[in-house]
Amino acid sequence: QGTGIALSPIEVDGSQPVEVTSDSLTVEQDSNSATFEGNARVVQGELIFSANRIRVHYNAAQSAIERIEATTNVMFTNGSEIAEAQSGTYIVGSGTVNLAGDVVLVQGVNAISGDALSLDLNSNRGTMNGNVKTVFVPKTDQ
Amino acid sequence: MESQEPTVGVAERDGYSRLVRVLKWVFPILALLLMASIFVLSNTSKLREGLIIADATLAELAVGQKITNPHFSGVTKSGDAFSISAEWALPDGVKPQHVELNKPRATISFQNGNTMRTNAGAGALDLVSSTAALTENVDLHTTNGYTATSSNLEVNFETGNITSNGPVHAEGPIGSIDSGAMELRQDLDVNPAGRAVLMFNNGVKLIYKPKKK
Repeated sequence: QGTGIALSPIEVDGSQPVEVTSDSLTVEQDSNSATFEGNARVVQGELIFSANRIRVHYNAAQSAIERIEATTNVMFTNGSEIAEAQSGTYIVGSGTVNLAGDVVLVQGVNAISGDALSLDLNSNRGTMNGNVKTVFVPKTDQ
Repeated sequence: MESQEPTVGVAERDGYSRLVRVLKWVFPILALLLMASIFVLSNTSKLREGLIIADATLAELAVGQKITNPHFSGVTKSGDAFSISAEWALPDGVKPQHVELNKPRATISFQNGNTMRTNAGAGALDLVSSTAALTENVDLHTTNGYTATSSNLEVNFETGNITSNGPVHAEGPIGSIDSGAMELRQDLDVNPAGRAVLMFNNGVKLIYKPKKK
């Protein structure tokens, strides 16, 4: 039984441009996939999603993304909160995200770490499993 | 059993992380990726079939000196009308192996109603290796609003492979792609069904511009 994470949805400003940068991009028609390799970063306003490699798998009809895999130095931030892990997979259909490997979730002074974090985007709930530790950094009056 | 000091309550009270919605905006990237393939993935194999017919007509036409306003057109096996023209063409002999083109232009009208126009400052057709090198600013336009530019483009009609070793910029209604180089590998000679891999190298930047509400 892992540690429950309650996630409150944030309103993303959908009108802001999304910028994706990486060292290279390979689009493979056969495997319906596109791989951003090397310093892959996706940015929209304050939101940043980065990893050494981000691979996007889309369905055969090329009409929707099925799965996104991020490997090595995976990081999400919305400018105030940060999630880090060694790998991450986002299954679009079920709305689940699994982060694995030295997962750290930081919000303000609270940080929670563990081996794996699974998030359900529909219920906005998540569970951290394995060596779960919560770290409090008492607020010091700078 | 792993050590589990923290209590669940902690997460709830702080309304923990609101990163999750972040993922919802990753969707548009697919639209950009498809835009990248609009130019190249489907078109080259059709062009390949057409141009082989065209080379034959060019060969008959050549008489070893400069031909002004050469123009030839045809229909590819898959039924797309194409036309190729230039300010002038200079075959290197009666039985030409190389043809120099000035301001080459190619237009392909696809059956789906979309038309792609390509033009360049200069071009060189190599009828032996069945390749065309387009130089001096190559640009492509499609009637559904996409444009692409590159400093040079090497097209191999046998393999369907296209390379631009200089910067490439592509733009459409939904956004733009820039990269330091680009390569499309289809190897149609080895794999006629085509196993298209499109690579953008030397740094890539995609910008997706959401539609204004």
